[in-house]
Amino acid sequence: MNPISSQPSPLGSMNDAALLRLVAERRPEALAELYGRHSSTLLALGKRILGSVSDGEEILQEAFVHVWKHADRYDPARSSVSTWLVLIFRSRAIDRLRNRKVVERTHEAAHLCSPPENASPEGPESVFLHERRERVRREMEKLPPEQRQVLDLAFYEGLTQTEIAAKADLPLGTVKTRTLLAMKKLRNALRDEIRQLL
Amino acid sequence: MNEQTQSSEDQTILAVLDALGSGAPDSGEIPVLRSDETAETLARLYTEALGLIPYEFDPVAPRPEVKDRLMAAVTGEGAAASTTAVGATGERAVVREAPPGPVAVPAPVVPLRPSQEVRVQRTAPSPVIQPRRPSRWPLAIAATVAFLALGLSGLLFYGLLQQGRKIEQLTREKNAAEARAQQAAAAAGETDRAEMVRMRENLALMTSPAVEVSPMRPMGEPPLQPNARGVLYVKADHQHWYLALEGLEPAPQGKAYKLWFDADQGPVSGGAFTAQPGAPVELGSKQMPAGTKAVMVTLEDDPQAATPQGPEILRAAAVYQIS
Repeated sequence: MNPISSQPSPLGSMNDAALLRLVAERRPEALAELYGRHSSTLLALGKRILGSVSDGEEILQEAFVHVWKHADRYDPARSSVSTWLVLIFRSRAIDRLRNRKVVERTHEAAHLCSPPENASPEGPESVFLHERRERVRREMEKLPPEQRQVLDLAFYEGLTQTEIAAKADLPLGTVKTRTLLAMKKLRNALRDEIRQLL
Repeated sequence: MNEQTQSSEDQTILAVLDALGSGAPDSGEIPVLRSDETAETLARLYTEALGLIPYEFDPVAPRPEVKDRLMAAVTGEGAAASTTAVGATGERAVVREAPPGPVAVPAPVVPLRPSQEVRVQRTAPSPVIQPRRPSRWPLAIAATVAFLALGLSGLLFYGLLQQGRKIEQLTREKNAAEARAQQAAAAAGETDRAEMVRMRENLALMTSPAVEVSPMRPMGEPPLQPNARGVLYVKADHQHWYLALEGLEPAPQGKAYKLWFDADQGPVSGGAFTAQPGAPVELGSKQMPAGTKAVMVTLEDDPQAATPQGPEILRAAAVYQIS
């Protein structure tokens, strides 16, 4: 057990941005708190992108080391901390995926192995987060398959619009239209959640 | 929303996605779109929408070691023993200074991954040149070693012999035990088979459409054993019969129950039997004396008695038999 996280701390009541400021001041316990809040969501993303939990754990460590080093780069005017973490993690995971050069196989594997039994054993998730997950899941499922496809290729595989068009054998204009529709639907559907992040 | 705004929004969305898809190794930062305030706000909204996408999955908790490694890396203690932590892609995370604050807790020991293994170069010891001088010690040592080896060999050989004898003995015992077990199993199997055949025959008899059924009732005034009862099944051939008795008390010491057929020739013994508390008694045969009119159970002092002497416990009177 990590000695830092085992001690009662007022950090638990601080918001993410305040924690990140402490991280920028070289306070490891703040990093540990941030890790505790976001690691499970990030690892789920890593599992989806890489198809492997152990690879995701490596990326998780790298991403948080990056956060430790560059916490001062975070700009609260440009994104929430959770989104900042997601994008840092995603970028590194996709970089790993490209290095592997087995995009297709891992994509399929990720679909095949997404068992719910790996749900966080660290304790009951907060009702707030649970509702967020339910809402996001519901709205993502509502997207038409063709829109979901281009969004997945862009977000989980890091493909550009041109690359998606080539991969899906679609005209570039169609890909862009579908992507725009998906993004707008998502933004509208998740308006409340986005407002909470601002 | 007018067309111009729509177009601007589309451009913003595509710019956000393009910035995400650029895939620079150290990217992950939010794209800067500062063309105007509207675009900046839109970029923020769509970026947050993207940031929410991973929440569609159930959380996956990392192993505790991952956090331990991370904290060891950032606190500069533990495995690193220096100020670097090496990521899987080779990134070196340099911890620039000792962290302030309440983190003087020793970090846990972190197992090194292959990429982190510390390779220790072994330096060969400096050769020491010593003058040679003839010695008899090597010869004495060699002789001692040879002697000890010989003794050890003898001991080992003796041990092997003993072990071989023991193995033979155990093998014989095992074979004998297996043979006994096979015989017992065969006997048990035979018994089981016979019992199965008997049960099958009795069942066939009881379910036969032409079977005659006669209840056996307690006898005596008052009944000697009021709880005793039974049913007699007689096949249509009036030869094959099956008797099921219940509630008979165990016979007193020195006495036995006996079954009798009241036939043309007088009482014919059907054999003696015992009863256990609560256990049913089942009797049967493929032969019944000619002219049997009734079947009785008596409690006899002499199990070998040729005629009923003891009190009658049960009787089935309505038995008809055609010889």
